[in-house]
Amino acid sequence: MIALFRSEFLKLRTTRTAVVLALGLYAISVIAVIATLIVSDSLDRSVQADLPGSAAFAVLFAILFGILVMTGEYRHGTATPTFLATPQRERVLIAKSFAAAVGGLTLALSALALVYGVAIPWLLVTGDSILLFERDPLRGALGLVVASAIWGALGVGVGAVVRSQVGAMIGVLVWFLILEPLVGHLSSRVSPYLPGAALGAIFEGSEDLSSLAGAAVSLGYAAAFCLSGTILTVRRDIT
Amino acid sequence: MIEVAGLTKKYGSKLAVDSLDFRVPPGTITGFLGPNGAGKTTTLRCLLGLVKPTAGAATIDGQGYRELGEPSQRVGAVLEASNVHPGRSGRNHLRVLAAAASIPESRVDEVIALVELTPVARKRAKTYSLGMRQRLGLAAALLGDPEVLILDEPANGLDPQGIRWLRGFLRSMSAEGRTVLVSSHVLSEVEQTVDEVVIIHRGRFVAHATTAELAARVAGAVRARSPEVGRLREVLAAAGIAVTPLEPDGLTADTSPERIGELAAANGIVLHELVAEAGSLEEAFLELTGGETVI
Repeated sequence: MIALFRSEFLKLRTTRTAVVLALGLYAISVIAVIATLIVSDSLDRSVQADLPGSAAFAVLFAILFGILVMTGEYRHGTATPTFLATPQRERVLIAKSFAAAVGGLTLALSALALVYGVAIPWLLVTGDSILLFERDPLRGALGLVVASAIWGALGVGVGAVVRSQVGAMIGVLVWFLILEPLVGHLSSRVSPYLPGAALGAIFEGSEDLSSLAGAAVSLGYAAAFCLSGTILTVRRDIT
Repeated sequence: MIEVAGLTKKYGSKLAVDSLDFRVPPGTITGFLGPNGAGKTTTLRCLLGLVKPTAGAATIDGQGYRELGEPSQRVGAVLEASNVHPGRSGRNHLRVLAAAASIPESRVDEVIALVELTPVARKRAKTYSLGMRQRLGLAAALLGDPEVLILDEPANGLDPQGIRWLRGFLRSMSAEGRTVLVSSHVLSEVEQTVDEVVIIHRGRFVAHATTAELAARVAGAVRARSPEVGRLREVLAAAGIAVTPLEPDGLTADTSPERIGELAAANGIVLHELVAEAGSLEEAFLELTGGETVI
């Protein structure tokens, strides 16, 4: 299993995909944090508590990353050599989910470091007290890291089920932009437990879900998709 | 020993492979031949555990590929030349596969040298020619130094130079005692290299023979020339032999040279030429596969 983790991490390090994704995320995060710092009238406790949210796109990039990790194998035909080297396909899926979770975590951590790296000198210059290490901002930051790790793995699961790169990405977008609001509208009983709502609960906690419960429900979705993706991958023909 | 027994694969209602049986003995190079769409790739993918047979089995030393421990060290396979991420270098592609199979990194540079890819090994794969990709595939197959090599249409898209290189390469693999199964839809690509051929058509077994046996299957006609060709024709026709005239003074006949010689001598006919036309492997292949092959 260690050999497979090494192989998967080597895959991530030997193409530009991860770097390009990271740079995109960093650009968005830096723009977001600077915009907040500029437009806020006073950089008080509540504004600073929301600053880690500047890196919130890490979650989206994490699921994108997970999707790319899995569907890239089909898109470029590398699934064949991969499954020849490791015919126990479930092991490949485990290694990939883990690698994507670590990738999502790394994306979030590095984007947060960048956000803090911009915000702290800014606050020093403006002379505001630095409240970024109080409970609320740190909780937001931790939530972002946890959510990004979970969503990285979720991306692998979705990619394994769908296989098509474009199909998986469109599917994720359609779910969060159209289907989840629609389903939530139809039944207020299930709406707090839908993937997007569970993700939101990780950061803030909702009426129905605490942060921890939100993380648990999100983890449940990731596990469900990874499991069904694994079963499908083991059963399907690699042609 | 590669063994295919009762192998059947249906895609939906389409029968890609139809109760196929054959064996490849250890230490031989066997050509796996058939027209495009005959079911060669499906058979090889079943053998490699990538495609699940509908019925029957394809095994290596009695085991399915997925049951082999350390499969990279038992079987090397090249299926499609394009199976590499365009943004990854050839060397890194091999490092990834070596890591998954717990093969030391030093072996990566060895196989790169073996397939003569060293000058471009650190360039991204999208800059590679088709021939380079085929060789990268071969390098990947050789990572684990396997006894069995399975190659699907390795000559596809290669220029004549590349095909010559491939022939030499396959011969050297066989000289090292490896078992090689190489598929092709063009017999001439492999006929100089292989010991035996397995021929399939429309998913069904057609023939398994040595190349010499296969050539012998084509009934070679006999060509004769004589100053008294008219009389020779009558004599042969009287003996019940089908004759085709050949202007100006010859004929071809579906029989042996011995028979024509004997008949000519018995009737006092002078012969100027008597030649048995050897059937080529290509003809045998075309005949067995219904002449539908694409050259």
